[in-house]
Amino acid sequence: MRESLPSWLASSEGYRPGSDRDGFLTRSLLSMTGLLSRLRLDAGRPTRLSPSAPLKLVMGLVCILLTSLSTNFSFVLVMLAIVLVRACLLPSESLRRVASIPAGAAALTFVLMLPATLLGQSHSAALMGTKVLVSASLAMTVAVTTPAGELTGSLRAFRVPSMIVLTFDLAMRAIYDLGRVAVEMLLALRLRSVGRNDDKAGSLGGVGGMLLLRANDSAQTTFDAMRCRGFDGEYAMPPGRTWRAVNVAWLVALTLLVALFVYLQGLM
Amino acid sequence: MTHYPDHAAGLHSPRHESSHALMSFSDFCFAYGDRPALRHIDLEIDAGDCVVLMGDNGSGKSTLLKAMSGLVIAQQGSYRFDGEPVTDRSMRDPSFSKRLHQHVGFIFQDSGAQLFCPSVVDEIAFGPRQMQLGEDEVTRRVNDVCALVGIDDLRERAPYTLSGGEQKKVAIACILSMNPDAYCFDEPLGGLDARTRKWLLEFMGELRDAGKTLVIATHDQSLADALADYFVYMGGFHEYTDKPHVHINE
Repeated sequence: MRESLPSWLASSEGYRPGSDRDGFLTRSLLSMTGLLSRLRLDAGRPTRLSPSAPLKLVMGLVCILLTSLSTNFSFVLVMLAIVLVRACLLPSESLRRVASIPAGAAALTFVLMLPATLLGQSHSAALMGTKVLVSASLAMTVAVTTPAGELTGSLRAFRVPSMIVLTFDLAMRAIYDLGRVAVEMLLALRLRSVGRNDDKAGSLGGVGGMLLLRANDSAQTTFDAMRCRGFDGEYAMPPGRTWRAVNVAWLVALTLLVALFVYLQGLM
Repeated sequence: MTHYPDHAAGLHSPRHESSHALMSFSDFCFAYGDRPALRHIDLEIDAGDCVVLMGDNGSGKSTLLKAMSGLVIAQQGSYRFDGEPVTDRSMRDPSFSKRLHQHVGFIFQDSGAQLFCPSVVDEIAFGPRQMQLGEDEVTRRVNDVCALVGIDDLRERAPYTLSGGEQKKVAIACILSMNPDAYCFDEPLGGLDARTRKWLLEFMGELRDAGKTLVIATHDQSLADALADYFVYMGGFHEYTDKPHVHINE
């Protein structure tokens, strides 16, 4: 026969918590949820005017390459203007991401170039800082405007083996899923941290350990599921739709940009 | 800024119109990014109520439970626990947030995610030790709870190695040992075998009879019929019932 409720459980607790510093939990939760929001797999749905993902990737790489190679400040400023105009068309959440990381990278560059500035090379410092700002912004813009699945899928256009693309996709999904579990576990730890915890590191270590065990389980389950669905080590992906009519316009724009680069470099 | 389109009429505990509400939502709105999850929630739950939340997937049941525990905060409107407003500011006060978390026990749908200690005994003792109870009292609570929940034989096992039903029992034991006034169960019967379901139903009935406040989010009509003082239907969900019921988040 089952026990009846003990007297302490049938009465109210009347508990008043003492003081304890547990900002580590809030910080861990915030950083984990921040990471998850950056990893949103469905982020960046393309619009009717967007180029296809492979072309977007190529354009991003070419633009970063041109910016890096350019010794002409005018060209870098043109690229900066393009990046700013594109950023203005982004939703506020994406804009914050595109702006924050490149701004930090540019600020760090300016600090590193400070000695050059003091020695009279202010032009070089400005050029380097702006290049870093533009390049990082371009990379972030491609990242926030393209769903993760399409980015990895676009690798197929460059003859990257399907198995590598699949591995990328699975890794992205695993990171996202484990991130969600990590948030749940940190929330549970926070909910049960109702007083003074003398072993905060131990508690967080427990969460980390459980996360590793669940990652292992998740990998095994995915492997079993793939085998059940006939996976035999070969992963034949159907050719994706990589060409869109609007790509022509984007290719023309890219050609004009390359032409501008050549022209301005020739003026130097 | 998220737009919350429709405003449902104000709804209150249908059992005790005039008594003091333990949990009180007023025009409560919350959205995940630009996706509204709770819209203009007006709801009052009195101490000792057993409330069953029912609704389709994505109707906001789990988010409402999180709001009750202070895990999500009103972006518009307000939530009060025992008369005190639960806001970003109040939750930054460790004394208030810990008191709220001790008063409201939350049993997750995924019980495995709630367990992080090396053994079941450590898991159950985690809360009472945090509350600075003496080691004798901690031991008494662990023993009582293990006997009550029927997990005496699991005491030294690692929670990770337990089955889903056993993990659910351990998660419940962890919350019980902190002796909260209110229990939030998120899909408590999900993935349990018939015997464990029957046990859990009877156990929740005992908690209700002991005067504890129960808020249960479920799809299970048998659980709802057996326990509910009244129903809260969410997201346009409708079901014929003789019991008092309210509709929110439509």
